[in-house]
Amino acid sequence: MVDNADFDVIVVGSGMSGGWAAKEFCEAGVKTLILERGRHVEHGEDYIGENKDPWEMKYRDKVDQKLADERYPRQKRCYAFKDSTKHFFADDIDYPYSTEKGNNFEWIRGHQLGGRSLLWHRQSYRWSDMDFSSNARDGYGTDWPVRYKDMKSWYDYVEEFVGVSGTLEGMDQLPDGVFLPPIGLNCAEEEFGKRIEKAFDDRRLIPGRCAHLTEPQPIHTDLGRGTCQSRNQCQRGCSLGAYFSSQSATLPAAERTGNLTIITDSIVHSVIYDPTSKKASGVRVIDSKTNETATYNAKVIFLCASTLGTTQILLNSTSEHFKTGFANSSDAVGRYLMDHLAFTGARGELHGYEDKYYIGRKPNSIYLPRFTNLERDEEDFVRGFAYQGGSRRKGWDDRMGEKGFGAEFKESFKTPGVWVIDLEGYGEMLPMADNRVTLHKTKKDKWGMPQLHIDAKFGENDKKIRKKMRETAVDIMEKAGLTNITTYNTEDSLGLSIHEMGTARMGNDPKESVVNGYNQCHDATNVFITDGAAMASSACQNPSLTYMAFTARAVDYAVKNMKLGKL
Amino acid sequence: MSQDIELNRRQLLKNVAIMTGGVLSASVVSGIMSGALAQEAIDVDNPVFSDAELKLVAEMADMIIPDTDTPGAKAALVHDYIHAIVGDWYYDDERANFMKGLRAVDTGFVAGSAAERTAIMTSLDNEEADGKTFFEEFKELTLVGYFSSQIGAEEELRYEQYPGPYQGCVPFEQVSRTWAT
Repeated sequence: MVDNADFDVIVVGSGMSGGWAAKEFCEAGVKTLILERGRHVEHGEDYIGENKDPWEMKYRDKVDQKLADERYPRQKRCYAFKDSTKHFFADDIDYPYSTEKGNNFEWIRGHQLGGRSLLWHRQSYRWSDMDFSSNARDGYGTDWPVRYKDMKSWYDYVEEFVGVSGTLEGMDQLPDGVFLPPIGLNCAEEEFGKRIEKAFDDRRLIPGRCAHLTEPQPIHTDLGRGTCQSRNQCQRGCSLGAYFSSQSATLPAAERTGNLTIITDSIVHSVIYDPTSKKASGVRVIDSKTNETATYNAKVIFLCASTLGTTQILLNSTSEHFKTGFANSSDAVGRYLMDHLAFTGARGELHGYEDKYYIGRKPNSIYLPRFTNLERDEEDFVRGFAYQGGSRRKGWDDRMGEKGFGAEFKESFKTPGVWVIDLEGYGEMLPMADNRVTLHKTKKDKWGMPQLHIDAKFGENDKKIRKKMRETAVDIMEKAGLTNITTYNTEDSLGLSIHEMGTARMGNDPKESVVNGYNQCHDATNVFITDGAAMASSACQNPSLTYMAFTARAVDYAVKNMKLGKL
Repeated sequence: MSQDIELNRRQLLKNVAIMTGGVLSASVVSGIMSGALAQEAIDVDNPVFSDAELKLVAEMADMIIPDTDTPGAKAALVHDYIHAIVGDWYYDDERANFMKGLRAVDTGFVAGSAAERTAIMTSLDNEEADGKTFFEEFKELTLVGYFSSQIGAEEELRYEQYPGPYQGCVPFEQVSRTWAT
């Protein structure tokens, strides 16, 4: 039994943000309790899909479609949902939610120790000053209380520990960082990049920046982490610790201090408000296996339960003082939900380089940083987009539906096909008050927690960006001399970029925002929100790195204030 | 070449062993050291093919991917893979549709000469339909079943569980065959 005297801080959630919060508190000498709603996942041992060859899986890594349809009707739409990974996705029947009719939202979840840090795509980009200034510039959303100068040293700090591979480019819109050697471009990507630079003076194709160890440093090897082997099966779990996850990095770092306690299978029901101190006194939890309830008290609480998980807890934490949810005097909790605009772009073929190939399943993307609306708004939309994607030579799985059979047909697969290049847009979505999650008035889950009801849709600006991303991808490919260019626009459901954020946003004004510039609740100073909920805008970069930087910075602030006796 | 691969595997196994303090799970060892290339039996929970139908499936798959310098579909048990998909994975309507297509294959196929079989296969291959024809579906299952088998992936094409640090531009000869995955 865990005693309340054993810790000073509670961290709710153990994923990307929770792992960082725990590590930072523990390393600062603060006794810390992690509450994780899901099961324990042991690094290595519980990666049951790892090292499975295709032929060892009956359906060759496809999930039994009946199981997928019955238990994972939403999760199955995630690109990483496979037979070898499915155990890291939440069962949609056990974890239900509803959406507004006509506005679908796919909420992809990983309820286990490590959360979605086991499932992420590992692309790691800093936000620029332009991104932190964007709300102030065009008036959508509330101004960020921080600018790049406030975040730079924290980006440095988390990148060094995470191990981010990349290249120094000197681009204002995508600040450089502390990088390990890149997982570089392949032949076709390199050629494509050269042609883009020749055709456009404002565009440069660079290797993706990803959280893979290419040259592990002592800070990584001390935790048992090793070099990436290009298996690109990261979501199965990586016992090499070659990509960053809570299991490979933050949790062992926290544990070795002796200051960490973890309780799994423990669902935080609500945050308890103490009107006397005007702070939170602790949290109520439900044991997911026994349904028993308990209360844990702490001096400081970090909510890192994922954007919508944290929001659900806040909305469910009602009291005489907070009638509409914890720290919600602004009415911003649940509003301004964003995701990234993606699943549209173009594919083309680059001829030549037939005598060249690659070794490894590249676990990294290419990146074409934002080039529109940099200094001022010049398009018929505000904000902007970047591209990710990559190139590979066509293989057997690209040749379904081809005519032929027999020895020659079989032999033809030995030679790889043309280089195909994919450019997928990643666009910034605007924060809008009506894109909102609320608690469902009647529906509850099997533990009695009110279900979330999600009501969000693309706005006019978002639609313009999606269209522009598609058209511009074609234009880039045409000018770069690609052939057989086709477009795609495969997904119109929000959520599937798995970058949901914004529902407890940061801002200077307590009337308009939930947390201040240190992720601290305006209405209860000992509660911090450092997951995606705190984001006041979405930029177009993958957000995990920024969550990590904010979390480390917030812990530093909290620890200083605890020492001063303010918390 | 294959000697090099084997050496790399051993080196990697050693590295992994060092990194994990010498403790390796059985699956890691089998993943790195997989040697003999025989497809393991595929369990079919809901067998729906008669013996004759299974034989027909095996013969047709083997005509799409025959033995050459490497074993073909039959050796890779592609027919058992197809049986598992049709019997266990498919919904009832998908299964009924497949069985209808299979039963419509010319009865002369099994007893036919090589030339007769080829003629039947050619005519199936040339069929057109609004959606996927039976033969397109059959061929797709054959290609997936074969190239994701150990024989198809490792002998016919190239496969590495642990490819090693990514190299984005090497002479094709260094790989020598298409990557299976």
